[in-house]
Amino acid sequence: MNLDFTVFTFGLPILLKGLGNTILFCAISIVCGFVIACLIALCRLSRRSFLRLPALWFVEVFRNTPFLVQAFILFFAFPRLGVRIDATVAGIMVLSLYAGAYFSESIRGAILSVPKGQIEAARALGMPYLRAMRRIVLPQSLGYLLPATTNQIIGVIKDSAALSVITVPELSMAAQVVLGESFSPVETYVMVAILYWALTACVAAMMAYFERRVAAAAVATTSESARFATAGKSH
Amino acid sequence: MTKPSADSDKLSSAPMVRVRNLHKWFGPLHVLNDISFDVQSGEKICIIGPSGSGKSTLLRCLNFLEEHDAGTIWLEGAAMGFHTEEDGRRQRSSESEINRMRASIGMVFQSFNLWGHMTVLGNIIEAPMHVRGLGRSAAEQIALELLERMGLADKRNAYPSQLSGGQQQRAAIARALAMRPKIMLFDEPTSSLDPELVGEVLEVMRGLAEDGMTMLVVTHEMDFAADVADRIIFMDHGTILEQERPAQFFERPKHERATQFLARILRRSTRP
Repeated sequence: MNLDFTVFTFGLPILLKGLGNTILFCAISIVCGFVIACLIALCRLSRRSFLRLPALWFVEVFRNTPFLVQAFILFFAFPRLGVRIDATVAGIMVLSLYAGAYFSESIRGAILSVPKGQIEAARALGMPYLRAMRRIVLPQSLGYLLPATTNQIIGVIKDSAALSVITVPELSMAAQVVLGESFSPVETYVMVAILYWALTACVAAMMAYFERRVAAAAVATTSESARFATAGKSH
Repeated sequence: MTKPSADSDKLSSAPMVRVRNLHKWFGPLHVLNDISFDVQSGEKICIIGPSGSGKSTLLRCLNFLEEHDAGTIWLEGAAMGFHTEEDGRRQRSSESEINRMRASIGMVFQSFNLWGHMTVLGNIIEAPMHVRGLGRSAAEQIALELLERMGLADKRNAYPSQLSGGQQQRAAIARALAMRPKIMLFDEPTSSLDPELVGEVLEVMRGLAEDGMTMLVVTHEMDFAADVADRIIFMDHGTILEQERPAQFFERPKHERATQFLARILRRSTRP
């Protein structure tokens, strides 16, 4: 097989621009998704059924239908409702909702992984529910939350490729542009694959760093800082 | 100690705790069945009874960790958790109202429940700072005084997992006391401790009792109950069977179930 190297010099700048957009759109969607996920997780843990049941349906719908189909529905639904919407905005919205549904499950699991007595102690002292979640439960659930979240963030990045079908100008869309000019599908998609891999590898490395930090802090709370405790040093 | 008159409903003379016709179900299980009692300021009450009799649930209802299904709990005349609307409907109180009332009730758990990601000092200053709104230095001053009193001054920067069970429970008591509660609830505070560590926790509790703290203690420590309690509440199957002075209760229990329970407990504690 002969590789056409001219496509690298010509295609790479276009693909890098696409990669930049993918990073931007994914970053926005992951942040929005995380906020949505926190709300959904808290609703799913609520004892009030008017919060719990809609949250459950939301997760069910977004986890059990293809992302591609979700993107189409949202993209075509807005014009039908008389709302003109940019493809990129629609894409970020659907990716945020999709990420929110997935993240919410790991946040819920993380909250449930912290013994109930921890929040009871906070509530018994008069601490409001959300503050107890933030101050007491969340810090202790990170060891559970981070590994699960890493996989899901990588999943969101990979699934964002489907946004090209609704004409969002991200990396896969850029590949189609390069392809249209060069007619070198193998070279083009190999580059695309390498760029996706580079991005997810960076994300995984970053998350692994956070995981180590959290694990180190957890060790500090058990054995390491016994030194500090006995030495009576204050910080 | 003056005996409370059972039906004085004036708010001015409201008892520290008043419970009337309290009911609680866990599904089909009737865990609390028509519980009524009063606790006067400064009174120490031990709640005893077989496991599954509803003792812990009763205690947890008092600070609304469990929500009662019927009946009323008043703390210094203020209804806890629910209030009755003018049309007679039972309405849940606002979260902020519940939190405000909880802040003046100290709770000590069987499993300590110290927060593992914070030092002992961090555990104690957390609620004074983030619930009461005290500054760090004021909160730390309260915390250090309490740690001194609990014999834990040198452990202030230790994490809970570095402490023995007895030390953890004393730190948990300090955490509750840092809120300057009007009443302390103890839910089997020594039941998960190694036998040789029980004494140090009971010692701290005796000290609190001597200082005049109002205390409700669910316990299986009969010697402690006999020494410290002004009154024993004996529960079985979700009802209060006896409310007596310790001498009366331990020597001449009125109910067959109480007699059986005491026989079982005493046999266990005199075994070599």
